[in-house]
Amino acid sequence: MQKYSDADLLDAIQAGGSAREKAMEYVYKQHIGSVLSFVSSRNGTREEGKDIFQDAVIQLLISIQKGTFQGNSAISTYLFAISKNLWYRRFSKNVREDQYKTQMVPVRETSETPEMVLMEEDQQSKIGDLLNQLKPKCKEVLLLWGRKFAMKEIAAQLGYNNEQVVRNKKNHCLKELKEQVRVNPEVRKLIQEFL
Amino acid sequence: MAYSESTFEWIEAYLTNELSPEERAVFEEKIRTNPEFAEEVAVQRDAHSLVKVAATLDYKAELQRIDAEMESMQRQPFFRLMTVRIAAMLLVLFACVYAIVFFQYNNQQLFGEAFSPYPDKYMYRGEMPAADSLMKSGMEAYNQGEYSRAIPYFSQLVQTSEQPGASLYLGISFLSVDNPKAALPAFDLASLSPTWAETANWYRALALIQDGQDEAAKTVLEDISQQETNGYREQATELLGKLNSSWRKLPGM
Repeated sequence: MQKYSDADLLDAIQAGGSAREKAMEYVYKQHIGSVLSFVSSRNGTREEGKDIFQDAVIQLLISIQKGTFQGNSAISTYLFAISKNLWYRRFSKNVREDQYKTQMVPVRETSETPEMVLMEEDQQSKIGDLLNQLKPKCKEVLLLWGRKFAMKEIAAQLGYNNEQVVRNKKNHCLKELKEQVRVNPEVRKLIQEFL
Repeated sequence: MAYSESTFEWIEAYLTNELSPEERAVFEEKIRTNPEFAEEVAVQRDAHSLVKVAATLDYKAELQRIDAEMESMQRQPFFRLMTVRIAAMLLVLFACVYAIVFFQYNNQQLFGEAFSPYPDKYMYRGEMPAADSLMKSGMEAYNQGEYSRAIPYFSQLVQTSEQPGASLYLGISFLSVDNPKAALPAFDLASLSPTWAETANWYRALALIQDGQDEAAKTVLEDISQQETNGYREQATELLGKLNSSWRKLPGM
């Protein structure tokens, strides 16, 4: 597996497409061990640790996309801090409120509290529901486009003839989604507040 | 107000930064002056944002896939390690068996085990006076193991006179210096003499083995092993058995 510096990771994640995919895989494999050890030392299960860390990686991705993480701290430090905060929030039910507050790790890169960072599950469902109104192929094309894959890569992955075919498909699917968004003001508000 | 396909594409070009600065200025002027159009752009922008958020959240499924792959690989190391160890042991075992078989059954080994220079019995045959200088010189060199020095004497004898004994020792000298091709004609000549035929045939078989002519060697050895009174019968039978061994079907034999 290719090795990355933090600067390389930031560049790859911002670039999107397959560069981002490889960078995300590297981040996951490099840093999950320390989080699993932390969770295990707190009598958490392996599955809890994985869930926490996966959300922490998503958080990193969101922070990079929003520009709130710019590499002033190490990615490993940032991920570990987010993971610890998520752990105390979600799974550490026996920790008293005052202990919880003192054990929260400040994440300097954002002024948001960890509670604000990730969408709650029901909010995620609302977004998912809108996309699920589209045909599966439309959802596939839009998600790959959303992950910043080039039209050429999307054509290759999904078996389309060429980039123009993908572009036309994407526009067609986006128009359909636009009509769904138009009639769902609640989801629009959710999206506007999140980004 | 329903907007056309071209308007959708115009808005799309704006949102994906594909408009020139001049085109962008025109577009933004329209947003400022046309609230309905501005709302249309906002809805399309929100659709973009929704896709972006959904794609980001979708990464969790990708991370779960990566994790499943890691778990699968982590389960395998023990079995992989055992497989590698067993494979390594089998390889070492095979190499040892092959080495043992190779050194027992390859042609050079078979020849080496079976061959020894025929002792100097020529002078007792009574066919030629032991005082013959060429023969004497040749046998002196032969008996000292200096086969290269013996060859010219025996060769001259073979060319200038009928000396089947000299032919035999010439062939054996050639075999001793690893020249089976030169030895074979000498043994052919020696086998014409009833006195030397039996010995010449045995050494002929050895020359054929040394030269890699297995089938021809087997023919000679089969012939010898079927002669009940042949002095080389037992040796020929044993050597034939090794030549016919299935171990010799291994590559490199």
